[in-house]
Amino acid sequence: MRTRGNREAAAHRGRWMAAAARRMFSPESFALLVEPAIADLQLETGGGLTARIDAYRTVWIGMAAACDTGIACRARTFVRDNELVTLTGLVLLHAAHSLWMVVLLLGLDGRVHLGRVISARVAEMPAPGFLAAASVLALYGGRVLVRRLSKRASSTACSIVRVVE
Amino acid sequence: MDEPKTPSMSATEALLLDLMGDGERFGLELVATSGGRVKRGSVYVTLTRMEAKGFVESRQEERAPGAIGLPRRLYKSTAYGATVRQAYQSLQQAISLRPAEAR
Repeated sequence: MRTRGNREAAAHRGRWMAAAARRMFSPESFALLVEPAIADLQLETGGGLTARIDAYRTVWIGMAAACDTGIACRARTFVRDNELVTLTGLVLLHAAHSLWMVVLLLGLDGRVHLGRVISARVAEMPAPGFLAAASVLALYGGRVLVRRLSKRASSTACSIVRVVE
Repeated sequence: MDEPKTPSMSATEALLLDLMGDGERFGLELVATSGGRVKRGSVYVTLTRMEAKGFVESRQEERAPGAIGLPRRLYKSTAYGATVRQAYQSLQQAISLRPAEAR
């Protein structure tokens, strides 16, 4: 009777992990990396504390690997769909808008003489051509970096797999 | 034109294929029969990678109605996996020969 109760209690083990992982990872990653590890954890009735800790460790490693796969997949989509350029554009637009609002508010408040501040800043700034070239370079540099990272993550010698092995 | 990529197989992957043989095995079963050579923590990561390479295929175990808990996964070697394993074994044998033996 007690054994049956133990088995039932064990079958409920890791349910919260399964529920969280199902929401966090793709169905494929969940089915291949997390679900079998949790199933093993639920079947662990004997073997003591060490075996149970080992089973939990397997689940966490599976989750980390699923996370790694997810990040690699998203990075690939990101680069492929040219979303980096769109995102950078949106961020720059938002930054320019916020900056303008701050400048406007300070100016309206009468605490800052906008004309003087702007002319002083413009005098300090490098040439517009240099700024444009630097921003284009930064944009493409970022893009190359993301592309390299996504390639490395998609290779068979995945970082987490190396750590695990 | 892209050249066909040579499949790579690690020692752990080769060992898992050997342990699988012709039958279907659970991940934990493979760990138990490996005698400590396959770590429990890495078995599903390795098996997933092998499935992505096409060396193994897997399916969920059939459950009795009303069974509690999550289903386990059964792994089976594919024909392609067996072929690559055999090729790697031949290669290993060939390169482990001493120069005198190779003549």
